Amino acid sequence: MKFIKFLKFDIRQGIFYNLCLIISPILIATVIFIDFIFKANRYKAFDIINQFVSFGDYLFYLYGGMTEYIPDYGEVFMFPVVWSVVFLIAPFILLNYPIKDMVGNGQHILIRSTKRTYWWLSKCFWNMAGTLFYHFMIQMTGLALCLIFQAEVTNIIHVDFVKAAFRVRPEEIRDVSVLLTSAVLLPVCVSVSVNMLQMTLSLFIKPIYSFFSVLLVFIISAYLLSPVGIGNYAMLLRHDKVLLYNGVSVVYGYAISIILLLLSMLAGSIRFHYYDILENI
Amino acid sequence: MLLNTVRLEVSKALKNRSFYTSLLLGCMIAFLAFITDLGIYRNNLYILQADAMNPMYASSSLFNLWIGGEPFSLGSTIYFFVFPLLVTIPYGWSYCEEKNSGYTRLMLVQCGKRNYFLSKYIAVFLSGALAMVIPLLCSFLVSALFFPAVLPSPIYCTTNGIFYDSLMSALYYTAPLLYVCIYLCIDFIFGGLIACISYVCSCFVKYRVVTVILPLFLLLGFHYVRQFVYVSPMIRYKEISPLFFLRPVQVVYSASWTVIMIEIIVLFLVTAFLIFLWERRHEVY
Repeated sequence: MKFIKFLKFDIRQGIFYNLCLIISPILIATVIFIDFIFKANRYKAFDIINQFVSFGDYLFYLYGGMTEYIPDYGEVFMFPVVWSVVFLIAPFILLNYPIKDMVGNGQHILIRSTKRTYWWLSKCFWNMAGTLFYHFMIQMTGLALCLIFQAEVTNIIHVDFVKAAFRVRPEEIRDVSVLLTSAVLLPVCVSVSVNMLQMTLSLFIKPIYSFFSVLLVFIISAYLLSPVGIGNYAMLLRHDKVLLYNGVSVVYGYAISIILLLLSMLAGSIRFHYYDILENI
Repeated sequence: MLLNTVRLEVSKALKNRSFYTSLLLGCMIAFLAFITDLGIYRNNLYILQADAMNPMYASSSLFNLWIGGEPFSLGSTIYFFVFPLLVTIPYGWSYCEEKNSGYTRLMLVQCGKRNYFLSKYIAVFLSGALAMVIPLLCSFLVSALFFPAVLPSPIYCTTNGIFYDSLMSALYYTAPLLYVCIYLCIDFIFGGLIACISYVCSCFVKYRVVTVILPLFLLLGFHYVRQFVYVSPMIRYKEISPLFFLRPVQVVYSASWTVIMIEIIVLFLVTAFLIFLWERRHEVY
Protein backbone atom coordinates (compact mmCIF):
# COMPACT_ATOMS: atom_id res chain seq x y z
CA MET A 1 0.00 0.00 0.00
CA LYS A 2 1.43 3.33 -1.02
CA PHE A 3 2.07 6.12 1.44
CA ILE A 4 -0.02 8.54 -0.59
CA LYS A 5 -3.04 6.24 -0.21
CA PHE A 6 -2.65 6.35 3.56
CA LEU A 7 -2.39 10.11 3.53
CA LYS A 8 -5.43 10.52 1.26
CA PHE A 9 -7.45 8.27 3.55
CA ASP A 10 -6.38 10.14 6.68
CA ILE A 11 -7.00 13.56 5.20
CA ARG A 12 -10.44 12.49 4.02
CA GLN A 13 -11.51 10.67 7.20
CA GLY A 14 -9.66 12.82 9.73
CA ILE A 15 -10.25 16.26 8.29
CA PHE A 16 -12.97 16.49 5.65
CA TYR A 17 -15.31 13.96 7.31
CA ASN A 18 -14.46 15.27 10.78
CA LEU A 19 -17.43 17.56 11.43
CA CYS A 20 -16.00 18.61 14.76
CA LEU A 21 -12.83 19.92 13.12
CA ILE A 22 -14.90 21.92 10.63
CA ILE A 23 -17.58 23.31 12.95
CA SER A 24 -15.54 24.04 16.12
CA PRO A 25 -13.13 26.60 14.62
CA ILE A 26 -16.03 28.42 12.92
CA LEU A 27 -17.96 28.50 16.19
CA ILE A 28 -14.93 29.57 18.22
CA ALA A 29 -13.98 32.26 15.72
CA THR A 30 -17.54 33.60 15.65
CA VAL A 31 -17.83 33.82 19.45
CA ILE A 32 -14.39 35.43 19.76
CA PHE A 33 -15.18 37.84 16.95
CA ILE A 34 -18.46 38.91 18.58
CA ASP A 35 -16.56 39.50 21.83
CA PHE A 36 -13.87 41.39 19.89
CA ILE A 37 -16.30 43.62 18.02
CA PHE A 38 -18.37 44.31 21.17
CA LYS A 39 -15.21 45.44 22.92
CA ALA A 40 -14.16 47.59 19.97
CA ASN A 41 -17.58 49.28 19.86
CA ARG A 42 -17.52 49.87 23.61
CA TYR A 43 -14.02 51.37 23.48
CA LYS A 44 -15.04 53.54 20.55
CA ALA A 45 -18.11 54.77 22.42
CA PHE A 46 -15.95 55.68 25.44
CA ASP A 47 -13.28 57.29 23.19
CA ILE A 48 -10.65 54.80 24.37
CA ILE A 49 -9.75 54.12 20.73
CA ASN A 50 -9.67 56.65 17.94
CA GLN A 51 -10.07 54.40 14.89
CA PHE A 52 -12.19 51.31 14.32
CA VAL A 53 -10.48 47.90 14.55
CA SER A 54 -8.99 45.88 11.71
CA PHE A 55 -8.39 42.23 10.79
CA GLY A 56 -4.88 42.63 12.21
CA ASP A 57 -6.40 43.56 15.57
CA TYR A 58 -8.60 40.47 15.42
CA LEU A 59 -5.57 38.24 14.80
CA PHE A 60 -3.76 39.97 17.65
CA TYR A 61 -6.81 39.41 19.86
CA LEU A 62 -6.73 35.68 18.99
CA TYR A 63 -3.04 35.04 19.47
CA GLY A 64 -2.14 37.88 21.84
CA GLY A 65 -2.04 35.84 25.05
CA MET A 66 -0.77 37.97 27.90
CA THR A 67 2.26 40.01 28.90
CA GLU A 68 4.73 38.86 31.53
CA TYR A 69 3.20 37.82 34.83
CA ILE A 70 5.10 38.85 37.94
CA PRO A 71 3.77 36.92 40.96
CA ASP A 72 2.90 39.08 43.94
CA TYR A 73 0.24 39.22 46.66
CA GLY A 74 -1.71 41.89 44.83
CA GLU A 75 -1.17 40.42 41.35
CA VAL A 76 -3.53 37.52 40.76
CA PHE A 77 -2.68 35.25 37.82
CA MET A 78 -5.47 35.47 35.25
CA PHE A 79 -4.98 32.94 32.48
CA PRO A 80 -5.58 34.32 28.97
CA VAL A 81 -8.95 32.79 28.25
CA VAL A 82 -9.20 33.56 24.49
CA TRP A 83 -5.71 32.22 23.88
CA SER A 84 -6.38 29.12 26.03
CA VAL A 85 -9.58 28.33 24.13
CA VAL A 86 -7.86 28.69 20.73
CA PHE A 87 -4.83 26.58 21.64
CA LEU A 88 -6.49 23.88 23.74
CA ILE A 89 -9.38 22.98 21.48
CA ALA A 90 -7.08 21.96 18.60
CA PRO A 91 -5.27 19.20 20.56
CA PHE A 92 -8.63 18.06 21.97
CA ILE A 93 -10.17 17.64 18.52
CA LEU A 94 -7.08 15.93 17.13
CA LEU A 95 -6.60 13.63 20.12
CA ASN A 96 -8.96 10.82 19.33
CA TYR A 97 -8.56 10.03 15.62
CA PRO A 98 -5.18 8.18 15.62
CA ILE A 99 -6.22 6.07 18.61
CA LYS A 100 -9.59 5.33 17.00
CA ASP A 101 -7.75 4.35 13.83
CA MET A 102 -5.80 1.65 15.63
CA VAL A 103 -8.94 -0.40 16.19
CA GLY A 104 -11.50 -1.86 13.79
CA ASN A 105 -10.93 -0.98 10.14
CA GLY A 106 -7.78 0.94 10.93
CA GLN A 107 -6.18 -2.23 12.22
CA HIS A 108 -6.88 -4.01 8.93
CA ILE A 109 -5.36 -1.14 6.97
CA LEU A 110 -2.31 -1.22 9.20
CA ILE A 111 -1.90 -4.96 8.64
CA ARG A 112 -2.37 -4.63 4.87
CA SER A 113 0.19 -1.87 4.63
CA THR A 114 2.91 -4.08 6.16
CA LYS A 115 4.79 -0.86 6.98
CA ARG A 116 4.25 0.85 10.30
CA THR A 117 6.37 3.83 9.31
CA TYR A 118 3.96 4.77 6.52
CA TRP A 119 1.03 4.63 8.93
CA TRP A 120 2.82 6.83 11.46
CA LEU A 121 4.09 9.32 8.88
CA SER A 122 0.63 9.60 7.42
CA LYS A 123 -0.77 10.36 10.88
CA CYS A 124 1.96 12.97 11.37
CA PHE A 125 1.05 14.74 8.13
CA TRP A 126 -2.63 14.45 9.00
CA ASN A 127 -1.93 16.02 12.40
CA MET A 128 -0.05 18.92 10.79
CA ALA A 129 -2.72 19.39 8.12
CA GLY A 130 -5.48 19.20 10.75
CA THR A 131 -3.88 21.89 12.91
CA LEU A 132 -3.23 24.14 9.91
CA PHE A 133 -6.81 23.62 8.76
CA TYR A 134 -8.11 24.51 12.24
CA HIS A 135 -6.19 27.81 12.35
CA PHE A 136 -7.02 28.53 8.71
CA MET A 137 -10.72 28.14 9.46
CA ILE A 138 -10.47 30.42 12.50
CA GLN A 139 -8.68 33.10 10.51
CA MET A 140 -10.92 32.84 7.46
CA THR A 141 -14.08 33.00 9.58
CA GLY A 142 -12.61 36.13 11.19
CA LEU A 143 -11.88 37.57 7.77
CA ALA A 144 -15.43 36.90 6.57
CA LEU A 145 -16.86 38.48 9.73
CA CYS A 146 -14.56 41.49 9.28
CA LEU A 147 -16.10 42.00 5.83
CA ILE A 148 -19.62 41.63 7.21
CA PHE A 149 -19.02 44.05 10.12
CA GLN A 150 -17.11 46.45 7.86
CA ALA A 151 -13.88 46.27 9.82
CA GLU A 152 -10.69 47.12 7.91
CA VAL A 153 -9.17 44.11 6.15
CA THR A 154 -5.56 45.09 6.76
CA ASN A 155 -2.74 43.90 8.95
CA ILE A 156 -2.60 47.23 10.78
CA ILE A 157 -2.66 47.02 14.56
CA HIS A 158 -4.20 49.74 16.69
CA VAL A 159 -2.04 49.81 19.79
CA ASP A 160 -4.65 51.70 21.82
CA PHE A 161 -7.09 48.81 21.26
CA VAL A 162 -4.43 46.24 22.19
CA LYS A 163 -3.59 48.13 25.38
CA ALA A 164 -7.23 48.40 26.39
CA ALA A 165 -8.27 44.85 25.45
CA PHE A 166 -5.30 43.15 27.12
CA ARG A 167 -5.09 45.65 30.00
CA VAL A 168 -1.46 46.31 29.16
CA ARG A 169 0.40 49.12 30.87
CA PRO A 170 1.66 51.69 28.33
CA GLU A 171 5.28 51.16 29.35
CA GLU A 172 5.10 47.39 28.77
CA ILE A 173 4.84 47.16 24.96
CA ARG A 174 6.29 48.86 21.92
CA ASP A 175 4.19 50.93 19.55
CA VAL A 176 3.74 48.25 16.91
CA SER A 177 1.67 49.32 13.95
CA VAL A 178 1.76 46.36 11.57
CA LEU A 179 1.25 42.68 12.24
CA LEU A 180 3.95 40.77 10.38
CA THR A 181 3.09 37.48 8.69
CA SER A 182 6.08 35.83 10.38
CA ALA A 183 4.64 36.79 13.78
CA VAL A 184 1.16 35.43 12.97
CA LEU A 185 2.53 32.16 11.58
CA LEU A 186 4.61 31.43 14.68
CA PRO A 187 1.63 30.66 16.98
CA VAL A 188 0.28 28.33 14.27
CA CYS A 189 3.71 26.68 14.01
CA VAL A 190 3.83 26.25 17.81
CA SER A 191 0.35 24.76 17.75
CA VAL A 192 1.44 22.25 15.08
CA SER A 193 4.47 21.11 17.07
CA VAL A 194 2.60 20.90 20.39
CA ASN A 195 -0.17 18.85 18.79
CA MET A 196 2.48 16.56 17.33
CA LEU A 197 4.03 16.23 20.78
CA GLN A 198 0.64 15.26 22.14
CA MET A 199 0.15 12.58 19.48
CA THR A 200 3.59 11.15 20.23
CA LEU A 201 3.00 11.24 23.98
CA SER A 202 -0.23 9.31 23.53
CA LEU A 203 1.89 6.37 22.35
CA PHE A 204 3.76 6.39 25.65
CA ILE A 205 0.97 7.31 28.07
CA LYS A 206 -2.83 7.26 27.88
CA PRO A 207 -4.29 9.94 25.56
CA ILE A 208 -5.95 11.71 28.47
CA TYR A 209 -2.58 12.17 30.18
CA SER A 210 -0.97 13.35 26.95
CA PHE A 211 -3.66 16.03 26.74
CA PHE A 212 -3.01 16.81 30.41
CA SER A 213 0.70 17.28 29.59
CA VAL A 214 -0.13 19.69 26.76
CA LEU A 215 -2.44 21.59 29.12
CA LEU A 216 0.43 21.88 31.59
CA VAL A 217 2.82 23.06 28.87
CA PHE A 218 0.44 25.88 27.95
CA ILE A 219 -0.43 26.95 31.48
CA ILE A 220 3.20 26.91 32.64
CA SER A 221 4.18 28.92 29.54
CA ALA A 222 1.51 31.49 30.34
CA TYR A 223 2.72 31.72 33.92
CA LEU A 224 6.45 31.88 33.25
CA LEU A 225 7.97 34.07 30.58
CA SER A 226 10.88 31.95 29.47
CA PRO A 227 12.46 31.03 26.11
CA VAL A 228 12.18 27.38 27.21
CA GLY A 229 8.37 27.46 27.52
CA ILE A 230 7.19 26.83 23.97
CA GLY A 231 3.78 28.39 24.66
CA ASN A 232 5.47 31.79 25.02
CA TYR A 233 6.17 31.85 21.29
CA ALA A 234 2.46 31.39 20.65
CA MET A 235 1.69 34.68 22.41
CA LEU A 236 2.16 37.76 20.27
CA LEU A 237 2.34 39.95 23.37
CA ARG A 238 5.48 38.12 24.46
CA HIS A 239 7.43 38.47 21.20
CA ASP A 240 10.51 40.67 21.43
CA LYS A 241 9.09 42.86 18.66
CA VAL A 242 6.10 43.66 20.87
CA LEU A 243 7.16 43.35 24.50
CA LEU A 244 9.59 46.04 25.59
CA TYR A 245 11.65 43.91 27.96
CA ASN A 246 12.37 40.14 28.17
CA GLY A 247 10.42 39.28 25.01
CA VAL A 248 11.07 35.96 23.29
CA SER A 249 12.71 35.85 19.87
CA VAL A 250 10.53 34.96 16.87
CA VAL A 251 13.44 33.30 15.05
CA TYR A 252 14.27 31.24 18.11
CA GLY A 253 10.58 30.31 18.33
CA TYR A 254 10.56 28.91 14.79
CA ALA A 255 13.73 26.94 15.50
CA ILE A 256 12.34 25.44 18.72
CA SER A 257 9.00 24.59 17.09
CA ILE A 258 10.65 22.83 14.16
CA ILE A 259 13.06 20.93 16.41
CA LEU A 260 10.19 19.83 18.67
CA LEU A 261 8.13 18.79 15.66
CA LEU A 262 10.93 16.69 14.15
CA LEU A 263 11.88 15.15 17.49
CA SER A 264 8.26 14.23 18.21
CA MET A 265 7.89 12.63 14.78
CA LEU A 266 11.10 10.66 15.24
CA ALA A 267 10.34 9.56 18.81
CA GLY A 268 6.84 8.56 17.75
CA SER A 269 8.15 6.62 14.78
CA ILE A 270 10.57 4.62 16.95
CA ARG A 271 7.95 4.02 19.61
CA PHE A 272 5.29 3.00 17.10
CA HIS A 273 7.70 0.52 15.54
CA TYR A 274 7.65 -1.49 18.81
CA TYR A 275 4.11 -0.60 19.82
CA ASP A 276 1.90 -3.55 20.73
CA ILE A 277 -1.35 -2.45 19.12
CA LEU A 278 -3.40 -5.45 20.24
CA GLU A 279 -2.21 -5.16 23.82
CA ASN A 280 -2.46 -1.41 24.30
CA ILE A 281 -5.73 -0.54 22.63
CA MET B 1 -30.26 -4.25 46.29
CA LEU B 2 -29.63 -0.50 45.98
CA LEU B 3 -27.20 -0.57 48.88
CA ASN B 4 -25.25 -3.46 47.35
CA THR B 5 -25.04 -1.72 43.97
CA VAL B 6 -23.94 1.54 45.60
CA ARG B 7 -21.29 -0.34 47.58
CA LEU B 8 -20.07 -2.08 44.44
CA GLU B 9 -19.92 1.13 42.38
CA VAL B 10 -18.25 3.17 45.13
CA SER B 11 -15.70 0.44 45.63
CA LYS B 12 -14.99 0.38 41.87
CA ALA B 13 -14.73 4.18 41.83
CA LEU B 14 -12.36 4.51 44.75
CA LYS B 15 -10.22 1.45 44.14
CA ASN B 16 -9.01 2.00 40.63
CA ARG B 17 -5.72 3.17 39.16
CA SER B 18 -7.21 6.33 37.61
CA PHE B 19 -8.40 7.52 41.02
CA TYR B 20 -4.96 7.03 42.54
CA THR B 21 -3.28 8.68 39.53
CA SER B 22 -5.59 11.68 39.80
CA LEU B 23 -4.87 11.98 43.53
CA LEU B 24 -1.14 11.68 42.88
CA LEU B 25 -1.25 14.39 40.20
CA GLY B 26 -3.32 16.64 42.44
CA CYS B 27 -1.00 16.13 45.40
CA MET B 28 2.08 16.77 43.22
CA ILE B 29 0.61 20.09 42.06
CA ALA B 30 -0.30 20.94 45.66
CA PHE B 31 3.26 20.11 46.72
CA LEU B 32 4.58 22.45 44.01
CA ALA B 33 2.45 25.23 45.50
CA PHE B 34 3.70 24.33 48.98
CA ILE B 35 7.36 24.63 47.90
CA THR B 36 6.69 28.13 46.48
CA ASP B 37 4.78 29.17 49.60
CA LEU B 38 7.54 27.87 51.86
CA GLY B 39 10.03 30.03 49.96
CA ILE B 40 7.75 33.05 50.30
CA TYR B 41 7.31 32.44 54.02
CA ARG B 42 11.06 32.15 54.63
CA ASN B 43 11.63 35.31 52.64
CA ASN B 44 8.93 37.12 54.61
CA LEU B 45 10.51 35.99 57.90
CA TYR B 46 13.88 37.50 56.91
CA ILE B 47 12.21 40.77 55.96
CA LEU B 48 10.06 40.88 59.08
CA GLN B 49 12.95 40.10 61.43
CA ALA B 50 14.77 43.10 60.08
CA ASP B 51 11.85 45.34 61.01
CA ALA B 52 11.81 45.75 64.76
CA MET B 53 8.96 48.27 64.78
CA ASN B 54 6.18 46.09 63.34
CA PRO B 55 6.87 42.38 62.91
CA MET B 56 3.53 41.93 60.99
CA TYR B 57 3.05 38.36 62.18
CA ALA B 58 -0.52 38.24 60.89
CA SER B 59 0.52 39.03 57.32
CA SER B 60 1.88 35.53 56.57
CA SER B 61 -0.06 32.68 58.06
CA LEU B 62 -1.28 29.23 57.26
CA PHE B 63 -4.52 30.71 55.91
CA ASN B 64 -2.88 32.71 53.15
CA LEU B 65 -0.03 30.34 52.40
CA TRP B 66 -1.80 27.08 51.58
CA ILE B 67 -2.76 26.27 47.99
CA GLY B 68 -6.27 27.66 48.39
CA GLY B 69 -5.21 30.72 50.33
CA GLU B 70 -3.07 32.35 47.68
CA PRO B 71 -3.89 33.04 44.03
CA PHE B 72 -0.43 33.68 42.61
CA SER B 73 1.83 30.59 42.91
CA LEU B 74 2.37 28.29 39.95
CA GLY B 75 0.99 25.27 41.83
CA SER B 76 -2.18 27.08 42.83
CA THR B 77 -2.64 28.41 39.30
CA ILE B 78 -2.25 24.97 37.76
CA TYR B 79 -4.48 23.24 40.30
CA PHE B 80 -7.42 25.59 39.90
CA PHE B 81 -7.14 25.42 36.11
CA VAL B 82 -6.83 21.65 35.68
CA PHE B 83 -9.19 20.52 38.45
CA PRO B 84 -12.03 19.78 35.98
CA LEU B 85 -9.74 17.12 34.52
CA LEU B 86 -8.58 15.87 37.90
CA VAL B 87 -12.16 15.24 39.03
CA THR B 88 -13.27 13.44 35.87
CA ILE B 89 -10.19 11.22 35.49
CA PRO B 90 -11.05 8.92 38.45
CA TYR B 91 -14.44 7.58 37.38
CA GLY B 92 -16.20 10.04 35.06
CA TRP B 93 -15.48 7.74 32.13
CA SER B 94 -16.93 4.59 33.71
CA TYR B 95 -20.43 4.75 32.21
CA CYS B 96 -18.99 5.31 28.74
CA GLU B 97 -16.65 2.34 29.16
CA GLU B 98 -19.36 0.09 30.56
CA LYS B 99 -21.82 1.06 27.83
CA ASN B 100 -19.25 0.27 25.13
CA SER B 101 -18.25 -3.06 26.65
CA GLY B 102 -21.84 -4.20 27.28
CA TYR B 103 -21.39 -4.37 31.06
CA THR B 104 -24.25 -1.89 31.49
CA ARG B 105 -26.71 -4.38 29.97
CA LEU B 106 -25.70 -7.03 32.47
CA MET B 107 -25.98 -4.62 35.37
CA LEU B 108 -29.40 -3.40 34.26
CA VAL B 109 -30.69 -6.99 34.22
CA GLN B 110 -29.15 -7.68 37.61
CA CYS B 111 -30.14 -4.60 39.57
CA GLY B 112 -32.56 -2.52 37.52
CA LYS B 113 -32.18 0.82 35.80
CA ARG B 114 -32.97 3.06 38.79
CA ASN B 115 -30.52 1.34 41.10
CA TYR B 116 -27.76 1.21 38.51
CA PHE B 117 -28.00 4.87 37.45
CA LEU B 118 -28.36 6.09 41.02
CA SER B 119 -25.40 4.07 42.28
CA LYS B 120 -23.30 5.20 39.35
CA TYR B 121 -24.26 8.83 40.05
CA ILE B 122 -23.28 8.50 43.71
CA ALA B 123 -19.99 6.77 42.85
CA VAL B 124 -19.02 9.32 40.17
CA PHE B 125 -19.97 12.19 42.47
CA LEU B 126 -17.93 10.78 45.36
CA SER B 127 -14.87 10.02 43.23
CA GLY B 128 -14.84 13.54 41.75
CA ALA B 129 -15.51 15.22 45.07
CA LEU B 130 -12.72 13.32 46.81
CA ALA B 131 -10.28 13.88 43.94
CA MET B 132 -10.94 17.60 44.29
CA VAL B 133 -10.73 17.87 48.06
CA ILE B 134 -8.02 15.39 49.10
CA PRO B 135 -5.10 17.31 47.46
CA LEU B 136 -6.43 20.55 48.97
CA LEU B 137 -6.75 18.94 52.38
CA CYS B 138 -3.26 17.42 52.11
CA SER B 139 -1.87 20.82 51.13
CA PHE B 140 -3.60 22.45 54.11
CA LEU B 141 -2.36 19.82 56.57
CA VAL B 142 1.21 19.86 55.24
CA SER B 143 1.23 23.68 55.28
CA ALA B 144 -0.03 23.56 58.89
CA LEU B 145 3.18 21.75 59.80
CA PHE B 146 5.27 24.70 58.63
CA PHE B 147 3.24 27.90 58.83
CA PRO B 148 1.75 29.38 62.01
CA ALA B 149 -2.05 29.36 62.17
CA VAL B 150 -2.14 33.03 63.21
CA LEU B 151 -5.59 34.61 63.16
CA PRO B 152 -5.61 36.72 59.96
CA SER B 153 -6.01 40.44 60.46
CA PRO B 154 -8.17 42.61 58.15
CA ILE B 155 -5.32 45.17 58.21
CA TYR B 156 -3.42 42.86 55.87
CA CYS B 157 -6.35 42.15 53.56
CA THR B 158 -4.17 42.64 50.47
CA THR B 159 -1.88 39.78 51.49
CA ASN B 160 -4.84 37.65 52.59
CA GLY B 161 -6.82 38.28 49.42
CA ILE B 162 -10.07 38.45 51.40
CA PHE B 163 -11.69 41.86 51.29
CA TYR B 164 -14.73 43.35 52.99
CA ASP B 165 -17.10 42.21 50.22
CA SER B 166 -15.53 38.76 49.80
CA LEU B 167 -17.63 35.71 50.53
CA MET B 168 -17.62 34.92 54.29
CA SER B 169 -14.98 37.58 54.96
CA ALA B 170 -16.24 38.06 58.53
CA LEU B 171 -15.83 34.35 59.15
CA TYR B 172 -12.33 34.36 57.62
CA TYR B 173 -11.13 37.00 60.07
CA THR B 174 -12.81 35.46 63.11
CA ALA B 175 -12.85 31.67 62.58
CA PRO B 176 -10.51 30.96 59.64
CA LEU B 177 -10.51 27.20 60.19
CA LEU B 178 -14.26 27.11 59.82
CA TYR B 179 -13.92 29.25 56.68
CA VAL B 180 -11.51 26.72 55.18
CA CYS B 181 -13.80 23.83 56.12
CA ILE B 182 -16.84 25.49 54.51
CA TYR B 183 -14.83 26.25 51.37
CA LEU B 184 -13.63 22.66 51.20
CA CYS B 185 -17.29 21.59 51.39
CA ILE B 186 -18.15 23.91 48.46
CA ASP B 187 -15.23 22.47 46.49
CA PHE B 188 -16.35 18.95 47.45
CA ILE B 189 -19.84 19.53 46.05
CA PHE B 190 -18.59 21.19 42.87
CA GLY B 191 -15.91 18.51 42.32
CA GLY B 192 -18.64 15.87 42.48
CA LEU B 193 -21.03 17.74 40.21
CA ILE B 194 -18.34 18.44 37.60
CA ALA B 195 -17.47 14.75 37.60
CA CYS B 196 -21.19 14.07 37.00
CA ILE B 197 -21.04 16.30 33.89
CA SER B 198 -18.59 13.76 32.54
CA TYR B 199 -21.12 11.01 33.38
CA VAL B 200 -23.78 12.97 31.48
CA CYS B 201 -21.43 13.39 28.50
CA SER B 202 -21.17 9.58 28.36
CA CYS B 203 -24.85 9.51 27.41
CA PHE B 204 -24.07 11.35 24.17
CA VAL B 205 -20.44 10.54 23.39
CA LYS B 206 -18.94 7.10 22.93
CA TYR B 207 -15.27 7.99 23.39
CA ARG B 208 -13.88 7.78 26.89
CA VAL B 209 -11.24 10.46 26.38
CA VAL B 210 -13.84 12.94 25.12
CA THR B 211 -16.13 12.42 28.11
CA VAL B 212 -13.25 13.08 30.48
CA ILE B 213 -12.04 16.28 28.78
CA LEU B 214 -15.39 17.80 27.79
CA PRO B 215 -16.27 19.21 31.27
CA LEU B 216 -13.04 21.25 31.19
CA PHE B 217 -14.13 22.91 27.96
CA LEU B 218 -17.66 23.44 29.23
CA LEU B 219 -16.22 25.29 32.24
CA LEU B 220 -13.77 27.17 30.05
CA GLY B 221 -16.65 28.14 27.74
CA PHE B 222 -18.70 29.27 30.73
CA HIS B 223 -15.67 31.22 31.96
CA TYR B 224 -15.54 32.93 28.57
CA VAL B 225 -19.11 34.16 29.11
CA ARG B 226 -17.62 36.50 31.75
CA GLN B 227 -16.28 38.60 28.85
CA PHE B 228 -19.86 39.38 27.81
CA VAL B 229 -21.20 39.84 31.35
CA TYR B 230 -18.53 41.94 33.03
CA VAL B 231 -18.62 44.89 30.69
CA SER B 232 -18.51 47.87 33.02
CA PRO B 233 -15.39 48.65 35.04
CA MET B 234 -17.55 50.71 37.43
CA ILE B 235 -19.70 47.82 38.71
CA ARG B 236 -18.58 45.35 41.38
CA TYR B 237 -19.93 42.15 39.84
CA LYS B 238 -20.23 38.79 41.53
CA GLU B 239 -17.99 35.99 40.29
CA ILE B 240 -19.89 33.50 38.13
CA SER B 241 -17.06 31.25 36.92
CA PRO B 242 -16.35 28.13 39.01
CA LEU B 243 -12.74 28.31 37.76
CA PHE B 244 -12.41 31.42 39.94
CA PHE B 245 -14.92 31.19 42.76
CA LEU B 246 -13.89 27.69 43.80
CA ARG B 247 -10.67 29.25 45.06
CA PRO B 248 -10.98 30.07 48.74
CA VAL B 249 -9.43 33.44 47.95
CA GLN B 250 -10.93 36.24 45.89
CA VAL B 251 -9.48 36.30 42.38
CA VAL B 252 -11.24 39.19 40.62
CA TYR B 253 -14.79 39.62 41.82
CA SER B 254 -16.15 38.30 45.09
CA ALA B 255 -18.08 35.06 45.14
CA SER B 256 -21.68 35.03 46.32
CA TRP B 257 -23.86 32.43 47.99
CA THR B 258 -26.67 33.15 45.55
CA VAL B 259 -24.47 32.37 42.51
CA ILE B 260 -22.96 29.30 44.19
CA MET B 261 -26.35 27.90 45.21
CA ILE B 262 -27.90 28.60 41.80
CA GLU B 263 -25.02 26.85 40.02
CA ILE B 264 -25.19 23.87 42.40
CA ILE B 265 -28.94 23.52 41.85
CA VAL B 266 -28.69 23.95 38.07
CA LEU B 267 -25.82 21.47 37.78
CA PHE B 268 -27.62 18.95 39.95
CA LEU B 269 -30.94 19.30 38.16
CA VAL B 270 -29.39 19.12 34.68
CA THR B 271 -27.21 16.10 35.45
CA ALA B 272 -29.97 14.32 37.37
CA PHE B 273 -32.56 15.04 34.68
CA LEU B 274 -30.34 13.79 31.87
CA ILE B 275 -29.35 10.63 33.69
CA PHE B 276 -32.49 9.64 35.58
CA LEU B 277 -35.04 10.70 32.98
CA TRP B 278 -33.40 11.00 29.57
CA GLU B 279 -30.85 8.20 29.71
CA ARG B 280 -33.10 5.93 31.76
CA ARG B 281 -35.68 5.98 29.01
CA HIS B 282 -33.05 5.30 26.42
CA GLU B 283 -32.77 1.84 24.92
CA VAL B 284 -29.52 0.16 25.91
CA TYR B 285 -29.90 -3.02 23.89
